[in-house]
Amino acid sequence: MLISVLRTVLLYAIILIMFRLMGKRQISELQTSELVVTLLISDIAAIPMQDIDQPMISGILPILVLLICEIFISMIMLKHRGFRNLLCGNPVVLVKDGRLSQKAMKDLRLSIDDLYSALRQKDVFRLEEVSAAIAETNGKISVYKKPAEQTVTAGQMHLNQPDTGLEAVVISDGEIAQQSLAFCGLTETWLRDQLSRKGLRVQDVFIMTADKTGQSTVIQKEGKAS
Amino acid sequence: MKRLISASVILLLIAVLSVGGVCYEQAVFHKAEKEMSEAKLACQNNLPLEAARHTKQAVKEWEKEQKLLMMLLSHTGLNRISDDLHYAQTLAQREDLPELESQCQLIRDELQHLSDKELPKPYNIL
Repeated sequence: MLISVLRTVLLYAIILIMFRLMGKRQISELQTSELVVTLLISDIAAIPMQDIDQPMISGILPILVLLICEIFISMIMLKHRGFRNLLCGNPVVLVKDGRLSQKAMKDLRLSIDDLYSALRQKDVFRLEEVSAAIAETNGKISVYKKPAEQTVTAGQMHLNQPDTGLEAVVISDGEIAQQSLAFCGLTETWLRDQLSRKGLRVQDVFIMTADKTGQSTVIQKEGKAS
Repeated sequence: MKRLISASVILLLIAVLSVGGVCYEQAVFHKAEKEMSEAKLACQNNLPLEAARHTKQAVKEWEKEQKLLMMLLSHTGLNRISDDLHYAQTLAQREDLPELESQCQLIRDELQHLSDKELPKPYNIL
């Protein structure tokens, strides 16, 4: 039993490192090769976890081989467009200027319900609103609305909006996120100054957000709020 | 670039583990098989002391290598050989030469089978 526990912990660590090495894309949107690797790893890892008669290496080695295959294949795909197209396919235009491509739908074996569901998720409720709908290689559908249907932006209305930048979490559960502070161009001195003005210490803060203009919001930990 | 370096290091590790592992396994199997052949020959020549010496040597060497082999191979086959070797040792102590001779042959066959199974030959891969 203890062996199973230790093996599970070890394999878990190896798979974590492996996915980290594969990169961030692995976590969210899977390409064909990545999906294959993900499916295989879950199966391979389970064998030495449960069957203590099998040596650990019989699980680790294939996982490492898959990792190598994935890294090399993604590198080749990055350099050779043809190889990438062969493995991942090409984006397919499903709707152009409000007109549905039945052939593309048939090729992708995509039903009208699937397409309309994807359009609704993009806040499109009529096909005529669509300038282009494209089935991406990872299976997602991108939608570009016709200009008349698009949301008006501040730039289009020539409104001079100040650029406050992205709001970042600078304190999370009583811990300062130095990277976020640097991202906003702020310093720890500024942060401590802001907190002291509010009569707070870093450890009293549940979340503090700030942007590059110095605008901040503080939420205290429960039970510490005055 | 970092990812390429990591991949190369892992590739090297895989090569060492897989190729080195097979070479090591083959060396151990060959050594054990040799001892069993010698023991079998001693049985045929009616030399109980010689047979017992080779059997004891085979058991000693197997016990030394088994721990490492268990990191590379399925434990079932290795444990079976270990049990058979210990039985052969008992037979040698009893000086039951005909039985010991067939036991040596059995162990040789098992070693041969295990050794063949690990070789990267088309019939194993496919």
